Amino acid sequence: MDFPVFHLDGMGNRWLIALIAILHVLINHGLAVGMMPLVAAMEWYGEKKKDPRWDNLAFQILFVCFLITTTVGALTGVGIWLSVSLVNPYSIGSLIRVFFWAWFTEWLVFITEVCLILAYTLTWKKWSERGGIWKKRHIRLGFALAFFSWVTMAIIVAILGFMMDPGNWLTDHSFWTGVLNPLYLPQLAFRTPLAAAMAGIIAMFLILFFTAKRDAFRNAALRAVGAWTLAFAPFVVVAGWWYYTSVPAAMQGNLGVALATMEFEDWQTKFLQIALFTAVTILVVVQFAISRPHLLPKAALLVPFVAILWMTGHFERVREFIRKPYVIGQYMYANGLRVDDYALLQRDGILKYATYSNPLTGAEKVGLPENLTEAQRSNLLHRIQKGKDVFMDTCSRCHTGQGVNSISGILQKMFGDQEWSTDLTAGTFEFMHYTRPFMPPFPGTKDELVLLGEYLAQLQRSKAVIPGAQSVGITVNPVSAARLAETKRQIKGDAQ
Amino acid sequence: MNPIPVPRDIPLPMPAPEPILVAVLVIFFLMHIVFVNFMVGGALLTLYYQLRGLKERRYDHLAYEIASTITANKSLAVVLGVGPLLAINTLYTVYFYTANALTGAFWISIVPLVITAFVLTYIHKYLWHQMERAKAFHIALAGIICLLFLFIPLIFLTNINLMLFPDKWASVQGFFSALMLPNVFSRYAHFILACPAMTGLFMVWLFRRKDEAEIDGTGFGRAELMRKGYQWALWPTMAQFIVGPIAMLTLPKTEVALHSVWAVFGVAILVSLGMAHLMFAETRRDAAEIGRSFVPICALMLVVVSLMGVGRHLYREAAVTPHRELIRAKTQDYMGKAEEAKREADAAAAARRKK
Amino acid sequence: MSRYSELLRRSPHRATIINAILLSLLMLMINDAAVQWLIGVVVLALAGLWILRRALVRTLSAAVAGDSYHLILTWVPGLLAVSLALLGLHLMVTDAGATPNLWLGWILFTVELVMLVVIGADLSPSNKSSFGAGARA
Repeated sequence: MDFPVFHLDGMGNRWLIALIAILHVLINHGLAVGMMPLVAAMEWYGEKKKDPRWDNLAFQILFVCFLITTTVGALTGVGIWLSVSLVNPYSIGSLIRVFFWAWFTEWLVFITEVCLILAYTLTWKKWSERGGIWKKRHIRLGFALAFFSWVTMAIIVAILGFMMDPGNWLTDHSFWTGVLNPLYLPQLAFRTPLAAAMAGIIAMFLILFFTAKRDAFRNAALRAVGAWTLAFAPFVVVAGWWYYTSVPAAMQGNLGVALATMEFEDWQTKFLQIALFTAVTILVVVQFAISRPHLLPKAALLVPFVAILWMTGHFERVREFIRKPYVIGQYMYANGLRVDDYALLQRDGILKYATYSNPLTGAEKVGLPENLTEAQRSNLLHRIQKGKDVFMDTCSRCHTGQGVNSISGILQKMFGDQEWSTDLTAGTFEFMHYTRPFMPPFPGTKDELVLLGEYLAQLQRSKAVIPGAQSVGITVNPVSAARLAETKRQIKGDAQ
Repeated sequence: MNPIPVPRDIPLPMPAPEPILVAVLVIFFLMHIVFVNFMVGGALLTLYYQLRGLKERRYDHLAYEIASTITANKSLAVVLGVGPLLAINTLYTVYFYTANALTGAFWISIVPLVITAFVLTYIHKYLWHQMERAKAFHIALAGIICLLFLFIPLIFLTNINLMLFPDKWASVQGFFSALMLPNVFSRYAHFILACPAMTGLFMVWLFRRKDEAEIDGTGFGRAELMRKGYQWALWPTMAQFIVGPIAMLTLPKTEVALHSVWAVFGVAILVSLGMAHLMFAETRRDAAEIGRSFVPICALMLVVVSLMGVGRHLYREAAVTPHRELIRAKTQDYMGKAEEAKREADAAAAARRKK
Repeated sequence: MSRYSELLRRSPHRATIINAILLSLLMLMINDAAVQWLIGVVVLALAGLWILRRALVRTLSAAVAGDSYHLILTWVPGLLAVSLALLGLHLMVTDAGATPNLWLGWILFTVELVMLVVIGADLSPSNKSSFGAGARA
């Protein structure tokens, strides 16, 4: 990766994306895609029965959604862009080159969605007061909003589907291969009822807040929303099963998985179990909502909500797992290097083509062996510096020094307290992609494996936290600078 | 002296001809920044009028009217920013992502900072009447919102400035060192002055179209409100005639000549003079006449803003074009080597299989 | 003591709920999966038939004819409860020994069995209110 290396050594770079993305998915599924049809339906029903209580409830629920989606929802969406750009710019940069127009279209639909939710929320009271044709218009706004919310999901799932399908990139990288991806329809079929069920759970929770305990309307509302949730819950299981059975077919091209079949089977089985558990908790809550609504405490709704959270997290995790060791199937590994780069890098070394160097901090130099001459010390530091650059460029996207998924923790587990000599480490890394197919092959030369080993040996001694370019900056790799001079001469030569 | 880094670029073709991507970038960015102006300016004006409202009640009503507009403007500002973000990612991949990484901690903090600002804005607006008893706290809230809205643009400005100067990439260490680079602060001042100016025009538009009952609710007359709007538009714009040229003249030197940039900004200054004259005239008009020049003023502002966008783009191009040539050469060189190495490796593998 | 008998007198099905819970406890104590399965299936069949009869009566009566929303509310709770109870029973008998599945399955089975009693009471012809809105469990 030829960028200054942004690095979070504590929570790790992947969690930065994961936290933002999962929060975003929960909000857009539960408060937008799933909730807008429910709110619109409530408003429509209230108007049909001329019962203002439904209208009031619908508005109150909408308002909560409005507050959350226009703040946390919108900004976590942007946050996904910002975080992915920081963690793996080569991958997102490549995807944008191919999917620019898909994302552009998605954006236009977003603008529509934002305008609609602003209009829907801010005109509710005024237009309802006017009544008649204005009220009808308002209800239509609600259904339009519901439709556009779903469309944004339909588009983005195509892009996600593309990313998961190995081999696509090499043959036909277009938006339509994403739509025609075998996982597209199952994923969309899964997410739609999931969003509706989530919205139902959240709506029931809000109903308990917005209505009084003795209010007969509370029970009627809970019952109706319970029925709504009930209608979608079975589809969650059915579509989950469809997705589960589609994945192996889609995975055919991913050789690594064939070798890790058992671990993958575990993930998939766990997903089914969690999905079933989630469906059961939703159904039990819905039962109470329908038969004994007054016995439904607010806390009870947290159970299916947490279950959905867990299931969503697991689902996203499996999606990530399917992709490994690639970030773009068959084209780019998780370290940001293309498959086609490997021949060159393994022949000449990754450092030869690395523009940047990540200077060692004082803390990282602690614990160097004592009995060295000046020359030896300087030489060792030089090699450790190079090893750090190798680590940052090839490992840091997924591994930290001391934090989550730390390389220290892994080496500790593998080798314990004995010295992490280069024989041990270099030897392991050379062949790790065979025993651990989710790992990309090492993209450097054998010498660089040794350099990496020396860096890791020093890491064992210093136990230092690895800073990122965002706090300590970078220096220019001297090898790269020399090549720059050569390149400049070449350009001048071409011009003459 | 630090050598200038020349990284390699992503070896994939552009998704569209460059002029189209540039058009997307410039046009939608201008739309984005106008709504950001309305949002930030709205917050500043709300605070100002709330403070005046302590002495004279009706200013508090006016503050409420302006605060109400932030809700819509902020959401439009955010959503309109996505397109330009896409375009800049595509057109200036290496430059933009490098600047992001070098200021990463603050870059990602945009998310929690903006969320906080928005949530506080909602609290400030929707609990306005409930907070009558705690006016000091209410106004302090408005103050915090303003501080957030004043700080966040600095993060963006620092990024888009740093991205233009590869010779600085090896010397910055985190956000604050990048913040100190020329000419972030003069550009920032130019942007900040634009906020109340644009919001002033927005005020005129707003109070032109509100019905009588809503106008009476503020405690001011329609003409009075419009005049206030024009005053907000006029005086910061007058200040821009000093700050703008300072921002222009402090732009760091580039290898490529900046004649086209000076020309564009020069025309913009001339058009602004005309526009300022009309604004001034409007502030002098009585209730019957005021608003006559609103559409011409807006048209001229559109021209000025467009010229600013174009000038900005021309400067950006001037700053990065020579370096981009180096990147192109390096990328080509690298790709050539990578393909050659791949051919070698494939041939070697084939030879091994034959044995 | 009189307070409890008062509670039971007001809603007789509460006694049935207590019986159902006791039966479920008994099933848990029986260590034989085949016997558990047999008892469970028989109980569910009985409860299911009882509810089926009441649901049919209610459906055919004027009260629900033609109203799809109330039709759903008549039939779905029972179907749901029977399905979930069967799932709970399945979890109970598949794993040998005191596994989490046993406990989760037992809890689910018990909850659903109680629900079946409640639903049966709600569907009683004498219960004119709309599905337990006013009734206490």
